[in-house]
Formats: sequence, C-alpha cells, structure tokens
Amino acid sequence: MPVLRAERLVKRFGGLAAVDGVDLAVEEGEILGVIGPNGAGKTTLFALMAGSLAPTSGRVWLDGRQVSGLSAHRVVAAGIARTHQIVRPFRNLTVLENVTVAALRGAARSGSHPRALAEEVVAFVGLADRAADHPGTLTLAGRKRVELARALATGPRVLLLDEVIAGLNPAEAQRLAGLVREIRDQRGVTVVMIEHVMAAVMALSDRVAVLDYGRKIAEGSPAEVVRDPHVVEAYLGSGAAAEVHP
Amino acid sequence: MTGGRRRPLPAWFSGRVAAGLAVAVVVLAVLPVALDPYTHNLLTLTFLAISGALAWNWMGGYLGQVSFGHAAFFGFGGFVAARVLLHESIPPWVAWAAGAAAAGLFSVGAYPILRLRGPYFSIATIGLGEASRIVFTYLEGFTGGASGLSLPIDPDLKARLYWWALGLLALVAAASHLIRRSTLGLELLAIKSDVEAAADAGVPTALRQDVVLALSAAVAGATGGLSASFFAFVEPNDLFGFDRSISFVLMAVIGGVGSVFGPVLGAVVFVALRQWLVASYPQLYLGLYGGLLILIILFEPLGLTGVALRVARRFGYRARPDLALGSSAARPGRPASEAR
Repeated sequence: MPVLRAERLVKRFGGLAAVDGVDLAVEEGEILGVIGPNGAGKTTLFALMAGSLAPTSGRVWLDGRQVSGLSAHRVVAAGIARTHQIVRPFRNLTVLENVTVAALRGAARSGSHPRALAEEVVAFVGLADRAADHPGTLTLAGRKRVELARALATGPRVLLLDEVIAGLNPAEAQRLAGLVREIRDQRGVTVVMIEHVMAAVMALSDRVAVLDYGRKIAEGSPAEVVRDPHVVEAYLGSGAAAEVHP
Repeated sequence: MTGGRRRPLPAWFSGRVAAGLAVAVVVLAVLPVALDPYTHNLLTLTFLAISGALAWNWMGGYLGQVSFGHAAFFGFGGFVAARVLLHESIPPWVAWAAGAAAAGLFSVGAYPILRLRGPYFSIATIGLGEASRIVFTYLEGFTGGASGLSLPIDPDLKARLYWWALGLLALVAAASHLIRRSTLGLELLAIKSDVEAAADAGVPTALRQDVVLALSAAVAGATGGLSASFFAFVEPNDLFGFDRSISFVLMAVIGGVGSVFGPVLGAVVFVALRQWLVASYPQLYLGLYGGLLILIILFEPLGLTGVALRVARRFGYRARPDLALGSSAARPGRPASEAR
C-alpha cells in the first residue's frame, strides 16, 4: 500500500485550475521526483498535500488516513513535512532554535527531548558548528539546510522537498543531493521532491512524475520519462518529440 | 534558551532571575512603611501600569501582534469588576478575578481578528477598541452610560490595593519570564517571524495566538478591575478611551518591545512623565509622547532597553546572548516579504 496517496486532486484559483485532477501514489521508502515546466502546478500540489491550501476537490491519504482538509500543523502531526522553494527561516531565532521549534513535534512522536532531537538533526544536516548563529549569516546552501533540518525535525513519514537543490553551485548541489539520499537511506523517510536540476532528478529519483498545466502527463522511471513524447512536447513544444527521438 | 547544555534544571529556570524578582517584591512589599500617601498611591498605579504593559508585550513583543485595542479588555474587565464591587458583601478580589475572566472570555470572542497579521491586525484592534467604547457607552444599564458608575469609597481598600497590585505585578513578571524562556515562547517568536512557516513546522498557530490574547486580555481586565477600585469610579469614555489603548503601546515601545525588562522600564517612565506633565503642562503631554515615540522609532527601536545596552557596551560589558534583555526576541518583527 502506498504511504502517501493523492486522489483526483483539484485546486482552482478562479477560472484557473492550477492542479487539475492529479492522482499520485508514493511508495514507502522511495524518492519520487516531480518535474514539469514553470507554472505546471508542482508547488500548488505540494501545498495541497501539506495542508497549506485546501483542495477544491479530491483527497490526500497518508497511511490510509485522510489528511486533506486538515490544517497545516495537523498534517505535520500526521507525518507530512514540507520545505519551501524560497527558504523561510525564522530570522529572529538561531539555527538550533529554528530546528527546536519543529523538534517539539518530532520529539513528542519519538519520545525524545526536543533539544536533543534538534541538536541531532542540526548535526545530521551538517550545521553543528553554526547551531548558535542566526540563519541570516548563512549562505543560501546553509539556509536550505536549515529549511531541510526544520522539516526533518518534525519526524515526518513523508518529506516534500520543493527545489532544495536549485540555485546552488555544482559542489553544493552535489552535497545537498547526497543529503537527500541519506535522509531516505539512513532515516527511512519517504521523499517527494520537486526539482529543476535534471541531473539531480535523474540520479536521485526512483520514479518521476511529470506535471504540465496542472495534469500528470507521465510517470515512470527517470529513463522512461525523458523519452516520453508528451514530456518532450511539454518542455520543448509540439512537434519537438519527432525531432528528438526520430 | 540558556547556554549550558547538560543543566539539570529546565532551560527556562534561572535562579538568579527568581531571586532578583523575590528580592524586589519583598523590598516593595515593606516599602510603604516609609512612604507618604501620595507616593504610595503613585506606586500602586505604577504596578498596574507595568502589569498591563507586560501583558501587552506578550502580544506586541513576543507574537509581533501590535494591539491598539487593549482598552477594550481593560474597560470590560473594569466594568464587570465594578458591577460585582457594587455588591459590598462580595470580597473585592472576587470582583477583580471576575473582571479578569470576563476580559479573557471577551477576547476569545474577538478571535477572528487574530487571523489577521501585522498592520491589518493593528487596524482591526483599533476598531475593536472604539466599537467597545461606543457600545458600552450606549449600554446604560450595564455601564451607567456617559455618566458612569460610582463605587463605594473605601480608603482602607485603596491603601491595600498597593499589595494587590504588587502581587499581580509579581505574577505577570514571572509569567513574562517563563513564557519567554519556555518552548511556548520559542513558538511565539516563530509565529512572529513567519506564521505560515511556523505552521509548516507543526506549530498550532491559531490556538497559540488565541491563548496568548486571552491571557493578555485577562491581565488587562484585572488591571481594569483594580483601577476601578482605586478610583471608585468607572466611565466608558475613560476606561475604553483610545488614549488608554495607546498608553499600552507607548509603555512597551518606550521601554523596549519584546524583552521582559523593557515594558517594566517603559511603564515606570510613562507613569512618572505623565504625573509630572499632566500637573505642569496639561496641554502638552500627549504631544510630547508623540514626539518621544517618533524619536524612539527613528533612532532606537529597542527603546530605553536599547539605550541601556549601548551604554553597557560602551563600558565594555557584552550582553549575554541568552539574557532576555538583549535577546533576539527584542528585534522588531519584520514583514514577511522582507523575511524572504
């Protein structure tokens, strides 16, 4: 049984259907990549699954429990945590305090002490030496790690990562990709990631889902998906498929 | 958060702060033997002002929700207490407690304004305060209308109010410190920084804000009840007045928003200035507060606390990062757009 399942999810903003009937099933322990052109509805899909937005119709299930319609903090309590494409650290708190806020939930789940859990997670993402600093003093890569640590400290079953790698230099991108893999391998967290850096998507994902105009147009292994004519057309325009894969 | 990692005591407990508070309370409690009645009464009013400023700071400082409507809670608490005080068989503390509880409940009814943030919240609280003033002026059966209610005059009770107000202040100051140091305080600061990100980190943002508003309003209501006893007279345009709402903001801003010590200092300065100015320059004093506010916002957003920190730094002291006085919490909230 999939750990996370979206069923005919729809989100309309006025006349625009940002997400238009998406079905998605995420298996326990996999890394699912979500790709698609700008404006395809990827971030909106995440917002629906994380409880930041209520769907117009459709449902989201976590472990067979319906979580759509719950407010964001209840979805977190149920076991889904998200990161933001544009990082949103609490700038008035230190790195450790940022993560401690989230660890209050994670510690309740695992029966550990919030501060101990926060220290462990901060070390896990590689920020132990910056724990007492304010996020504003970190580089973008550092702030993305804070964002990741905060989501991780809630003790999620499923982590929704919105472009944690995009915008970084190649060395940093590689390190963060390694971190995403460790989150799955060492902590057993299922990962759904939106990513524009195709190299990272191809290397990390077990499966890839492709969105375009709010619909899922393809799904499968990374190699299958890039050969799919619908995907090529979505990125390069109609007629392009014949030229790319004659 | 304190620096030591393996302390046996919880992070919010600080022996030095507890001892300092206890000494201050004991000194103030025995002080009246050496005081003339004028100073005695002035201190009573100062204790009430400090309590109100500290409670306002839970909203304006910790949560970043700047209320311009705390007179609504002060006034509602004051009138409920006054109504109970009219029954002389009931002990006065019951009346004050009733005022506090009523003001807390009243604020729960106002919870929709907490779904707003920043300037929108502030504007809504102005509406709440002014609407309360007008509605309660019309409700003559309850408030006595524009002519107000006179309470039985009891000089003995007025003198004893000193210790009641001091007790309330001790309670509120301890609560301010505990909230600031607890995980609740951390959650409030997270909400202040970015309410949506806080929800994504699992903080029940709506519930936390409702609880803090109710606590803050209850304290404002208690100070309203005690000051009803003090003046033995309540009148809607005074208790619900907009300048009363402003006074809560002024005290916290003068002293330094967000810290525990700031509102205490601010309230002391505010009451002293008011006492002197109202006597000497009754036409000028509101204008002077306005000028002071502009200076503070322009040059020292942390108010007198910020000035004190600068002086301390000049003399070579460095504020410990975990001291509430100079902590990050004192940083004014910034708009979400900038936080990105």
